[in-house]
Amino acid sequence: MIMNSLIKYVCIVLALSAISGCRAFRIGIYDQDPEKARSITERYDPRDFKSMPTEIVQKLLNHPFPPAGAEAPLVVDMGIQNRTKTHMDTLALADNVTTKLLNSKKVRLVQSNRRDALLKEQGYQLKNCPEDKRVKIGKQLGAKYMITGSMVELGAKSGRQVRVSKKEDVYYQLTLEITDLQTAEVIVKKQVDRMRRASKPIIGW
Amino acid sequence: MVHVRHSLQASLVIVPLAVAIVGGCVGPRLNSARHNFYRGDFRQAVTNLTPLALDKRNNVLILMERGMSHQARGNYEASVDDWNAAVEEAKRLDYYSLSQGAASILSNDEAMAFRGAPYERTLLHAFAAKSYLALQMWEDAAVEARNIIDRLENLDGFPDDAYCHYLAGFCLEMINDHDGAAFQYRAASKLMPTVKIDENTGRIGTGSGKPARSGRPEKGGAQLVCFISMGSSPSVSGIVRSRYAWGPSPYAEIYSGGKLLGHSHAFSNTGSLLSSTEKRLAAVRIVKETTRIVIKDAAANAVSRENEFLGELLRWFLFALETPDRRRWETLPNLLHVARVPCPPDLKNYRVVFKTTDGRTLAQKTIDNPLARRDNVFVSFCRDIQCPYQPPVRQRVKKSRRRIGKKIKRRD
Repeated sequence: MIMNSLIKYVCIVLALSAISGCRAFRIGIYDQDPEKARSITERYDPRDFKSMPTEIVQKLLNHPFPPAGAEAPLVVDMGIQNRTKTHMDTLALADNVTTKLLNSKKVRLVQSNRRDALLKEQGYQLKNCPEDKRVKIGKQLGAKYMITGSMVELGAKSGRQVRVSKKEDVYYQLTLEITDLQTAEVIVKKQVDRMRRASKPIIGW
Repeated sequence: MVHVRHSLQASLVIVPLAVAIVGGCVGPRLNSARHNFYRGDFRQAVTNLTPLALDKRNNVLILMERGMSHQARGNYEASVDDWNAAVEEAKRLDYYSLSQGAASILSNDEAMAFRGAPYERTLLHAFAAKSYLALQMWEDAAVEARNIIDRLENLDGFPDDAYCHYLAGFCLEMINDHDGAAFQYRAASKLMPTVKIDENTGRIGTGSGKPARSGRPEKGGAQLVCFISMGSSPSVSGIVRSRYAWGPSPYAEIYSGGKLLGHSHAFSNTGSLLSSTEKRLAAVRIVKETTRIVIKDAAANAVSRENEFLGELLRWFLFALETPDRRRWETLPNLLHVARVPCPPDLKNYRVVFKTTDGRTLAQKTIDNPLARRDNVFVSFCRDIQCPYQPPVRQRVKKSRRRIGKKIKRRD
């Protein structure tokens, strides 16, 4: 009887030691390459923040804008509109895009502080500035073109059925356009998108 | 075999006991927080709910209540942080937990994690949208509006809510999505036969009067949109937390500089949302409770065969735990009103007068915060709870006497 209890306790201690030694039960911190890291959510995540601007800028640069031989035009970034169901930092997203564009040396960029100061003077912030005011402010900054964009989200969920998991598709589309401030003509418009399917268990521990 | 039987019998006692102890730990904190909230002591209400519980079953409820206290204090960033955390936590709990389910079979439904009723989860987004409007974060308010619309499009037999439709429409109107706004205004109008809403402008009028003017808002005509909350949602204990006897159809009048600007219209009532939700869930609850009673009885009988006294004790204990799950978001208001009135273009503050159906004044408040503005539209919201918290007169007199006593001593 005593022997049985002793064996039981020894087994428990050994099991706990084995579990605590197992990597899955310890905190671990590892460096990840943001471009190669696997997504762990169907929603907007760091991988989208990195890859979507890269893809869309590549498409913009492949477009014949500005015309060959022309001087790099002055462009003002007037923000990316968030039309999704997820709170996201669209200012950071726009910064990502404009940084890549600037580094390509195909455009020159109005400094964001100047833009924000002028917006503030007129009683706006970048996020709440209406379309007609953007054009006016862009002209006042001396820019030739304006970059605007939007991020849209669409989703679909599997209906009620007898299954052990439920599926959810989430689709994001990033649109970027460059508009001539003098003529109000959209010179370039590019889109990138991505869709992810999540399968979530209905029953868990 | 004997060891296994004794272990099973022990677990029949230990599991419900553990659930009872842990579940009871959070109850007093929540009750204190709610009591302080309705007294107007929002700071203390937040303190009562900080930190979150170690046992995560009630964290969604704690975050909901704490967010409401933050918003009432005017700390809008903290309120949206808490409510966004509540949304994420509720999504994370969106599965049937076998361990909690097993514990609930032996105790009660409070062993399951609280995720909020459908109307509470929709109002979570609605109140977060109001905080974003107060912060003039129009795009983030529109994000919440889309979440509201998503929830209202997937009701699955649960009650619809005109207030949330209108609020979602208004948030979309603020980012110039007039088509989206019109759709939501139309949906709100359909749910309220006595109130007419112009789907193009969002203007509100009564069904008996002239229809509201159509067309886009006039240039230069400033308007104030005020989301007014009154009363308290039904509490578990049956205590009426609101200090006013509201009566059947109270309303609020809006004044600026002594001039009446207009009055509010009733859009929603959390009491009726609750009762409709309970009706929808009644059949499922009855089946679950009946199954649980049968299992408890069988477990008590199994123990009785070994030891009659312990079996009866266990029966008494298991059935003492048989209480319905009445957890709900109790700091929600009972009545949700909207007022959309013309106002001076330089509006700095306004006065809200809360009245009963027969025009008797119950309370009044002057509001200067929140008062956000976009173009010619002012946005605000308020509640009948008086803030800041004033200690009762008796305590104030005691404090002043102490001060006078100290002055006399110093003179001597």
